[in-house]
Amino acid sequence: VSAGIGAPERLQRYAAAGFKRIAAFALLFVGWELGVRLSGISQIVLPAPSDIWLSFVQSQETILANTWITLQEIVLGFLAGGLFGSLVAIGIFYVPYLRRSLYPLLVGLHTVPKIAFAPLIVLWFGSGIESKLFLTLLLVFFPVLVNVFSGLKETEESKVMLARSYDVSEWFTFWKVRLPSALPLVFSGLKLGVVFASIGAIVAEFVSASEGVGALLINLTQYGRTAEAIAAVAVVVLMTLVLYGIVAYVERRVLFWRLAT
Amino acid sequence: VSEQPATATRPATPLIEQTRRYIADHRGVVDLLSLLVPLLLLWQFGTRALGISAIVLPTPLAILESVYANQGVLFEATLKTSQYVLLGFATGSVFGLVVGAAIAYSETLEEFLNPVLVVTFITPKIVLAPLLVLWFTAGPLYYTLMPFLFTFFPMIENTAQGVRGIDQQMKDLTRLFQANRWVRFRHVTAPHILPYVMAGLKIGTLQAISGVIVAEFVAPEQGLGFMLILGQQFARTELTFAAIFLVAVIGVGFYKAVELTERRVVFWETKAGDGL
Repeated sequence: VSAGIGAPERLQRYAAAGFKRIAAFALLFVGWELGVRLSGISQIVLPAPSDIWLSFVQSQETILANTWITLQEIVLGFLAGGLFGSLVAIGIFYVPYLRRSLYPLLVGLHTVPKIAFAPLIVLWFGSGIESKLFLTLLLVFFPVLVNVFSGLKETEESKVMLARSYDVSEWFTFWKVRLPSALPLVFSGLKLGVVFASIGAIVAEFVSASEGVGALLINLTQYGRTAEAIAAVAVVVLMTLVLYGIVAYVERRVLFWRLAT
Repeated sequence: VSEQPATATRPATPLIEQTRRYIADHRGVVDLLSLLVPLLLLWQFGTRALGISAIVLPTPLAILESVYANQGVLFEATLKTSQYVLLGFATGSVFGLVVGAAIAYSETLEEFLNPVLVVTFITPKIVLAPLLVLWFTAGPLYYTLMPFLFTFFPMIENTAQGVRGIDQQMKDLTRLFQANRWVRFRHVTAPHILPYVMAGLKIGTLQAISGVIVAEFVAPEQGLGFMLILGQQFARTELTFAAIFLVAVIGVGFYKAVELTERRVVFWETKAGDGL
């Protein structure tokens, strides 16, 4: 409703900052291109941006097909891990026994770098998509669990009391009081989860896979195809930024009342 | 004679009472053990009864036996991995501290580095591992660079946050007293940024371990990552479990060491248990 008094100035400042950034990156790429061309450095060591673009156009199909497989692993693993983590967090929150027994056990497991489980998971589930899904699920599970649990726990007690004074069901209190106040922390858990999901899928592909962008990267670098490898890394960077952007967008739509900050 | 049973039972009552009170006081530990012990017992004695082979899930004792039997190799691998964790962690923290402080003091630098920081936070830095092997080959530099990258970026972010958050009133106060550079650093800057730096270090330890392990997955030539891969490729599951166990030991060890240092250095902060 209110455009804000300083809006034009702010817009101007944003535009100026954006322009400076674009200029800086353009300068970086021009310097890179010229540096490679003038120094005559081998393409295997450091290809110029134009070489990278050309080899991306050339091997587009391979790179995108493999990224598509990884994307599926990330999304499915993220959804499964997020759902599972939330459910366990709710269970732990409502069952005092689990809160005292299972929760410290899981927090203890959380300090173990989950990446170390990758070879074991490959041993159990094979080199197919199952092992990637499982490692991704495992990596997403913990941050979501911890954040959902703390979100539920840190609900203001006075709000819960208010709901109780109206003699509503626990179900109603959960949906209308606890969950909304837990949501900011739930979303920080989900944002961490989406970052971890891509790590999980790619590390599992490093350990053992015939397809997916992790396997492709190992393959390309072993044959000294640096330009294509850098192109594949750039695609992964773009993909993860988009995935994170989607979660951040959903957060902004769901938590519209926190827009003020 | 008839008094005897009464006097005999009398000391027993406080004992039961004491036990009951003890259990009530240590409810958390008791409940934790009530879940953990049956789970371990089931794992040890139930797996074979359930028809789960040792290749799929070796028993806890078999895993400990494997640690004992392969102690030489595993010890060497643990040493190698921790060495690179420490090296990458130390260099990454120092560089991160310097760059973070520079960012906080220079607005232009922040403007240019901020998008880089955002991208490195969101995108998995591990995708660089194969390229780093290609560039530097699987040597000490490569195994140090991975944990370095994993510590460097969170450290920048935390340091910059700490420096930016310094209270303007405190700065004004030191100016009013015409305090010199050292006094300003010792009494205003350092106390304010230390909690942030310590938090960055805590994130850094766990990240650095993941960094080394992934580096060893991509170029399996040394360390616990190599042991993990070896166990998987030869279906020596108990070896894989033993290596996971040792990774956990390193992780908890480093984390606790940083946490203890934190309690010593920023003793005035009393944040009780921040989850992780």
